[in-house]
Amino acid sequence: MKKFYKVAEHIFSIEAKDDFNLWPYMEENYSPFEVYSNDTKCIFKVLISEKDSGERGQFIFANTDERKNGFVTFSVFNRCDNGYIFEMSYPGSQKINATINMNIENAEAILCLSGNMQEQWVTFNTAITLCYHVNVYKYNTLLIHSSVVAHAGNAYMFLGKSGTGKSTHSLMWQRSIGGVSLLNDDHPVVRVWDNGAIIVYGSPWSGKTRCYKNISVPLGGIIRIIRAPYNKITRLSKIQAYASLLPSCGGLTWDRKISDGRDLTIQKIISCVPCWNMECLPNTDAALICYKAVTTFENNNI
Amino acid sequence: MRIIDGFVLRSVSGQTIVVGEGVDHLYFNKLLVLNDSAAFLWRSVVGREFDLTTLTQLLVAEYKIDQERAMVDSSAMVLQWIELGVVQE
Repeated sequence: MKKFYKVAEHIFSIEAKDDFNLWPYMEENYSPFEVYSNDTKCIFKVLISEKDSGERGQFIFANTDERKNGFVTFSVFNRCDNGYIFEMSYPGSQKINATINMNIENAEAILCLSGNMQEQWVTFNTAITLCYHVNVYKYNTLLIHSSVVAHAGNAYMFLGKSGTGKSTHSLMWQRSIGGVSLLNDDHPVVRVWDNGAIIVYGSPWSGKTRCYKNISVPLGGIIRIIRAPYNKITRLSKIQAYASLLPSCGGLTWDRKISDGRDLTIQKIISCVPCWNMECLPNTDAALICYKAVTTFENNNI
Repeated sequence: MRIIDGFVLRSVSGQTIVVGEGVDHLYFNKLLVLNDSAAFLWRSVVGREFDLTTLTQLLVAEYKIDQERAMVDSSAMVLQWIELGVVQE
């Protein structure tokens, strides 16, 4: 069975046996993005295979230090031709739960999963986001680790390291300001269009919050959340905005083509979208101060 | 000495910056902003061995400043680069 999904107007396919054990799991978060399509429109294809090819080229990098932090860990190898092989492990697991063999030239990936359902499900999603990431860089598109709310036709994106309080800040906006809704709580997509529009899209990847909305809203502001014993918002210069956005865009930074694409898209975003640092407490006052600053900015059109 | 591989020059809003994009710099966690003369020196020596004399001569030739001042400026700059971990001795 092959299914097609459209995220930020980019179509990709996932192909697996009819009895692939994750099809039912995908219902909730992938179904809102499912479309009727065909191979020619796909920007990448993922095939779920029961067999790992065993191919491993030169070792590039492993983030095993992250095991203690509760993240999916991985090792990356070069393929013999153009591409990468990732071995992924569920947080805390010593076993490999997913192997992705990515052919970058053909935009095809073969994904092999193992372990219990939870291990497979988590590494599957990480693998698909990684495939998305590796294939969208040439289309002015970025998957940005953030929580995003929508208000009055604009989206406000909260950046921050895991555990800083992005989701909490989104929640505070929803509690204290009328007409605010959560767009995505972990990995929304931002796309810069040729006409200059900068749009945030929901995605099937929303972390622990079940928010899989297939909607799009123009990006109105980017706010980095920094924990502090007070509430204070500061507008960022272009360089500061670049430095703020860069670590939230992840990716294979050592791959020059991908990092060049990322650089170009970040530059376009920061040239049009205002960015701030919000040093804050996890309270509704923080949301109100932030809201006032970012919406006043728009009204004044500085 | 030489500039460590994996550091990339980029231009943001008219300013030159250095970003750590190599595999070894995933936790570099910094972004350096270079002024015009630092960016000129970086571009001139990236990918090759250099020493203080190389930098001094480059500054003298490009900016027509005296040898002594060029030496003081490039020495201060290269010490900072070493301290920040973008240049290895």
